[in-house]
Formats: sequence, structure tokens, C-alpha cells
Amino acid sequence: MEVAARPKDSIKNRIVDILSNNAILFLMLLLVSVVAILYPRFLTLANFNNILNQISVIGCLACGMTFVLLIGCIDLSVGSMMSLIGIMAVTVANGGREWLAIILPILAAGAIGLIKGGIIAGVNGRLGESFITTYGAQSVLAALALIIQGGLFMMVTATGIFTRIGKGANPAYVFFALIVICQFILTKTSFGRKLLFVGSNPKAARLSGVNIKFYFLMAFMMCGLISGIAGVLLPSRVMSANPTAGTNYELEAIAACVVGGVSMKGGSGSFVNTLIGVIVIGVLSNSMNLLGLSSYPQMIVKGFVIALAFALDVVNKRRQMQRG
Amino acid sequence: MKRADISRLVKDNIIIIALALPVILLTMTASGFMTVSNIKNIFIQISLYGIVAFAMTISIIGGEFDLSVSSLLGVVTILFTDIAKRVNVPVAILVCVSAGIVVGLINGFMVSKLKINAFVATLAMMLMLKGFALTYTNGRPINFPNPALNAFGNGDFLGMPNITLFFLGAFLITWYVLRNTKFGRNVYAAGGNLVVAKMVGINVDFYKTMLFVILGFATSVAGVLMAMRLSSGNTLFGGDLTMSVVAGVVIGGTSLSGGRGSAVKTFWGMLFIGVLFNGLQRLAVQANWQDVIKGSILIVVVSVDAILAQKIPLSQITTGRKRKEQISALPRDV
Amino acid sequence: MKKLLALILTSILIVSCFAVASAEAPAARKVFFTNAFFTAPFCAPLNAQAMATAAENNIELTIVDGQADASVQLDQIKTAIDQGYDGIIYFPADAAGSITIVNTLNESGIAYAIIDSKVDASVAETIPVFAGPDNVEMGRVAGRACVEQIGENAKVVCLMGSAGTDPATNRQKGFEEIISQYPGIEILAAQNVDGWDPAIAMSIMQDYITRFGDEIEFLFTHDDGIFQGAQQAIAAAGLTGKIKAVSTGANNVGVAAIKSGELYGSVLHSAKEEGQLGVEAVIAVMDGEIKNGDQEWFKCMSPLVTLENVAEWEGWGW
Repeated sequence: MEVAARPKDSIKNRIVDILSNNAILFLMLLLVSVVAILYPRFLTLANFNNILNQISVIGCLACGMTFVLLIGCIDLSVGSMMSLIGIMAVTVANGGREWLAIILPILAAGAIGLIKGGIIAGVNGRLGESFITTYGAQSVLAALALIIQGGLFMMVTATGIFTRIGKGANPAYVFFALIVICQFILTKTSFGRKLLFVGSNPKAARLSGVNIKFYFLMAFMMCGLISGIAGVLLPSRVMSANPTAGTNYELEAIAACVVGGVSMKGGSGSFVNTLIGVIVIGVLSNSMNLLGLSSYPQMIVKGFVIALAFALDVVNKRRQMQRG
Repeated sequence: MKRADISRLVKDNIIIIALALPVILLTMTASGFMTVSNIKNIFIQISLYGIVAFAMTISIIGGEFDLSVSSLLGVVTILFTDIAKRVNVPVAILVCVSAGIVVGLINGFMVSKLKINAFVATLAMMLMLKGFALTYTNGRPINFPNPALNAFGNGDFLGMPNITLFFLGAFLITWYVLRNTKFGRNVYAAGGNLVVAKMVGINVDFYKTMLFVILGFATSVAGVLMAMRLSSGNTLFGGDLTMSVVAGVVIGGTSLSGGRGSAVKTFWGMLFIGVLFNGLQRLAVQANWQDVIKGSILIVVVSVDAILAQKIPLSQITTGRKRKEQISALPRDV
Repeated sequence: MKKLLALILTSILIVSCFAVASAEAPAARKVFFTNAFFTAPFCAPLNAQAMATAAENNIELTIVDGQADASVQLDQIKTAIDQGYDGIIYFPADAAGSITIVNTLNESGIAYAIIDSKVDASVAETIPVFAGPDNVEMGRVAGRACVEQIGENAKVVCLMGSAGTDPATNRQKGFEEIISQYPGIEILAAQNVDGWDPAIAMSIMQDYITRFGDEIEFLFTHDDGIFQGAQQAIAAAGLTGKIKAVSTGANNVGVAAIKSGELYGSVLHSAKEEGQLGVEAVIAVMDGEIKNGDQEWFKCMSPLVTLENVAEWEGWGW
């Protein structure tokens, strides 16, 4: 009976499979066509460039967040980290040392990530512990961002390389390069495979001889480094640094990862998921701006899309499990 | 009493010792700290968030977590002031409490039936609620200058601030429910070990849903009281509610991994936060440094709590290696 | 045990903070200042100037972060009253939330002053003094500058401050009051910039340019930081000079843009002046020169700063 049933629903199933596996992408295509009909300018090269420019900083942040989510933790402090790094970078850049202004803050961000990872690894923490610890870190880093320059808004007065990295398509190149490199690390190296193993089941990983503390440390350090890159790109893009610039960016980054399909339970997801999520959220915001929707109804739509993306994912998995 | 017993007693009541220290030091150094009016102030400061904190305690013991309470509180203050202005106060209270329960039911449905991760489900709910309230009011706060309600929100009854009576009521109810009822025991069971709870026949979906309903209810009560106290509704009210409340619960000693904790712990935890904030202000610590101190304390307390939490159960489980492995192999629902 | 150790250390920290605080000279009058937007860049120079003015007048000023939350501010003010401060400066998070706070201040009998944002209309008649700008007038000044720049037939876009805040609401109100007198001027779009964030302003401006292309002739922004973000989008689209702009603030960011020709003018809102007026206002109340219900207004100046008079006003902002 089972054998007889197979060929009959396989064509239908295959279509359903394709649709449901990529449901969120199809929904986005639908949205794109609607907006394109209403606003022909939506489908221009200029707008395409705008979208890339708008998503890149959040994209980098989401890319770093993915490491932490893959290992089953969360980092709520990346937003305030970005504020702090931005202030540091502009301070150094305005002093004339522009290369240093790019490299030094990123390294500092990596070091801060290492400290956070050290605490989480030290207490064998997972989602819950990392949630509270990084919330504490958020408060500390946000305060430091305000303290080091007295809370002032800083203009970028540098004129060299530092002002160019955030302009035009450059942030997008950085973002795509990060996605490619991280995806390579995740899928093609033993480090990446072990990271996923530790994320999906830290106890099993420990029993099979993996040094799980090392992977927690590395995940948070990568997240720190990459949010440092985002922190340097942002002031270069807007030519100023604001000590509260990164407020709430962490939630945007998490939302992008989750919409793309990175699991909050750790061990499942990839940087391709993150890329999809970042693009979906970016296109959504851009379309809503073009439709003249103010930022408040936009919040409702975003919340709905997050729940929808997750529900679709769950339904899809359940369907696949039923069919074995 | 054995030495181990004393050490356990200290560990279990660490928060009280921790609270006693700053209290003694502040009494000695900050003039006016140990006065009736200041103690009243501290209790007023923690009362509204405290009501939510007790509901959050139940929810964290049950292994779930809710980010949306911060938005819900703002939404309730908006709903209350708007409806009280247009219709009347009883209707406004009814609508607000129903709204809280409905939001809880939706959260519970998403988590228990749709199996959406609680963090994601309540993040989505948080955005939707905030977006709804801001769209509805176009970002503008609503004023509601009603002297009678304002007097109730800021008034005293037999020397006790009214809102503190609500706080103590929430404490006693939570304490009783968690300690003496079947519901309470099942919440511990569901949060402690989901698989075992299912095996012994506990309707886990029902309990998970109820956790969110209780939170929604408690938040709506706190929201109505806040609207009365401030004579206004504002979407931004309660922006730091989720995090302050979780911090209070965790500092008190309730474990974030579920299955362990109590209302008494949360009471002390919230009091610790109240004393800390009051003390920092009384000592005129510069605002940015206050944030550094608060953040550092949170990191330290959670880290130490996590280390202690790992040590206690391991020492309790002495029935051999096999049992330990069995238990550690069971999934923990965070 | 580690937890105990950690908390002992915390307590030592708290006490040492006190030791620093108590080492200062006594005699001085003590004033408490709850600033709802403590972390906003605008408030950094405001706080600094308030501290300086207080020091000149032998006043010990304590500034706390009101966290943009009336509930937090009410708690802070109640504690401050209990602590026996001589005066309080109150920077309201929003008008509606100020009702209970103003009533509490009035009942306590303490000397107080409101700064920057106005309180709710239901209690406005009870306050002694308000120190701050006339945001509606600032909007009108910007509106007149707009008409002067682009004539009576033009298309305008606006980037407003955080929704619901007193400056965002009233600057737009004043601007539209002038614009509405000229039927030929059309406001194509006006959107709030959450948190006055330049990065968000940049994204919205990019999307304005996509939507309206080169139809846009004029841009009105509620803050120089917002303009600064929007300018990056204008420059990237090669529209610098084609879109004329007027902003508000006239701080260092705005002044630099005026000098470079990117910005026609900016309406001054001096954080320094406001900080100074706030402290002077509370002193006048403490000295008994102003009583509750007097409704005095220590008004900040709001001239239009352009290339012609920029030398005169430079440094008034921050």
C-alpha cells in the first residue's frame, strides 16, 4: 500500500516540497512583484544598490550572531559593542591613523568577544546564561561607549581609506565576503563541523572528546570580530559616530538569522540561512519605505514575518517527519 | 548540624546575606537610608515590576521565557487610558485584563501547539504589540488626569503604599501556588524535565500555555496600576521590564534552566535590585558608572549562580554513574 | 562562597563611591537633575554646561539618567525629595507622563524647574518656570527659510525626530503652519527617524530618492545629525546642491555642513544655553524670585544660522 501511494503523491509532494522549503523566499518574490508594479523604480539598479548598502551593516552583525546561535547561545551585547567600536574607530581615524582605525577596533572587539566567550565557557552556559551575561555586557559596553568621548556625537573628519570602506557597494562586498568565508569554515573544515556538533549536543561532544570550551570561546570571538567589522563600517557609511548608534541592532540581527532559518536551539543552520534572512528583512524594509509605510506599522509586519517564518519552518519539519 | 548542612544553608540563602551587606553599609554611610519613608520608596520602586517578576518566576520554573511583557505593559497603559477616557474605568480594566490574557494565550499557543521557540515567538509578539501601540497612538503618549485614580495609584492603605499591597498579594499567591498546589508541583515537573513530565501524564501543553497566560494577566495588572500611578499611557513605559524582571528572578536564585526556584527567592532578588538602585542614587554615583556597576553585578551573579547550579545537583545525585548519565542525556528545554 | 565574595566586593565598591562623594565641600546647595534623555548626544554638552553653571553658583549638582521613562523619573524624584535636596531640575520624558511628577513636586514644596520639553497642559499652570526652546517657533523659522529658498511652488520631504517627542511634534507643527499658507508647496513625505539615528535617516533618504527621484527640491530635518545621515544618501545619488536643505540644531555638525555649502541653514537650539538656563531657573526658584504657578519661560534663542551669520553663532551649539 505504501509503495502504491508513493508515485501518486510524489509529483504533488515534490512541488509542495519546493514551495515549503523555500516558502519565505516565495513570499518575498510575491512582495517584490507587488511593489514593482506599484513602484517601477523599485526594480532599478540604483535601488538594488540602496538595498545592498542598507543591509550590509546588519548583515555583518547577523553573520557574527550566527556563530553564537549555532553553538546554542545568544549575544545581546553586539549592538552596544557596535556603538563602542564606532566611537573608538572615529577617535583613532580623526587622529590621522586610518588603517589603525580599521584594524585596532576590530581586534578590540575580538578581545571583548573572547572575554564574553570565556565567561560563558567558564560556567558551561548555554542560551539562558548567555542571555543574562550578554545583557549585563550590553549595559557595561553601552556605558563605556558613552564614557570614552563624554557622550558626544562625533563627525568623521578623516578623508582617506576610512571614509571609503563604508561607501557605495563596499559594505556589500565585505558582507558577501564574510558570508562566503564563514560558510566555507562551517561546511568545509573540521572546526565548522565540530562547532555544529557542540551546538547541537554539547554533552555528546564532550563525551566524544571535543574540547567544547574552545568552541564556545571561538564562537564568541568570531561574533566579536565580525561585529567589530560592522562597528567600523557603520561610521564610515554615515560619516559620524553616535554613542548610542547600535541600540536595538542586536534584535534586528537575531530577527534576520531566525527568519532565514537559523535555529535558536543550536547546531542547526548555516550562513546561507543568514544571507536569506538578511535579504528578506532588507527587501521588506525597503519595500515598506517605498510604500510610504511609517516605521510603526513596519514593526507589526516584521513581527508577523518572524513568527510566520518560524511557523512555516516548524510545519515543514513536521510534514517531513511524518513522511519519514 | 554538620558542616555540609551549614554550607548548604548559606548557599540556599545567599541572597539574604548578600542583601544584608549593602543594607548595613548603606545604613552606616548614606544618611536617611534606614528611614520609614526611604524603605517605602524602595518598595514602591519594585512593586509594579515585582508583580510581573512573580509571574516570571513561575514561567522560568516551568522552563519558559517571555520577551513580550515589556511591550505588553506599554500597550496596557495605552489601552487603559484611552478606554477610560472614552468609556469608563471598569470597562477599561476589564479590557486590559482580557487583553493580557489573550496575549498570553496567543504566546502559549505559539509555543505549545505551533512549537515555536519561546524566545522567537515572544520576540515576534513584542514587535507586533509595540508596532500596534505606536501605530494606534502615532507614537504619542495619552494623558489621563484623573485625581481619584492618581490618588489610588500613589496612595497608602494603613501606612502601606497601595501598589506594594498588590506586590505582596502577588508574592503570597505565587508562594502558595508553587508550594501547596498540584498546579505548582506540575510546573516544577514540566520545567525540570519535560520528558519525564510527559511520561507521568502531565498535560505539558496546558501548563506551558498557562505560564504565558499568568504572565499576561500579571503584566496587565501592573500596566493598569502604572497608568493610574502616572496618569498617562505610553508605549515606552516598561521598556526595560523584561530584563529587570529576569535579572531580579535570577539574582534571587531561581535557575534559568527551569525546575528550580521559588517566590521567596524572587522577593529577595527584587529587593536586592531595589536597594542597589536606591543606594546608587543616594550615593550620587554618576549615571554611566551606575550602568557599568549594574551590568557587572548581573554578569557576576549569573556566572556564580550557574557554577553553583552545576555543583548542587551533581552532589545530590549519588546513585552511581549510570543514573547520572541517564539524567544528563535527557534534553533540557531552555 | 564566590557569590558572597562577589557581593562583598560590590558593597565595598558602593561604599568607596560614597567616600568619594562625601569628600566634597559641604555648605553648597544641592540640586538634583533627572535628564530623560541622558544618553542622547544633545545632552552631553547640556549636562556639562549645567555642571559648569552649577559650580559657578556654588551648587552641588547630581545628574541621573531618566531612561526616557516617566515611571523611572517619578521614583528618582521621590527619592530625591526624601534625600532633602534643595532643588530639582526635571527634563520630562514626555508631556503626558509628567502629570503625577509635577503634582508630586508641587505637594512636596521643593523648588523645581522644568527644562527642554513642556509638561502636560493639565498641570502647565502650576509650574514655576520652564527653560527651553519654542519648538513651534523653530519650525516656523525653518518654514520661512524654506519659502525663501525655493519659492512658492516646490516639493518638500521631511525627516522628523522620534515620534511623540515634544521637539518632533512641535517643530513639524510650526513648519507646516508656514508651508500651509502656500498652496504651491507640496510635502511629498514626512517620516519619523527612530532615536534621531543618522543611519536610519540615511536609509529613509535613500528610499525617498528612489521613490521621488529628482522631484525632491527641499529637505527639512529636525536635527543636524539626521541631516548629516541624509546628506550621505544625497551625495551618493549626486544630488548635492540640487536638494536645498534646512535643519535644526546649528551644532558643530550643522555648522560644518553650512560652511561646506551642503546645508543652507539650521535653526539654533543651543544645548549649552539650555543647560545654563535650566540651572539659573532653579536658582531663581530656590531664591524665592519665582513661585509655583508663575509659569515663567526662560526661552532659548532660535535664530536661523546661515553662511552669512555663521561666525556669530558658531560655538553656541556643541
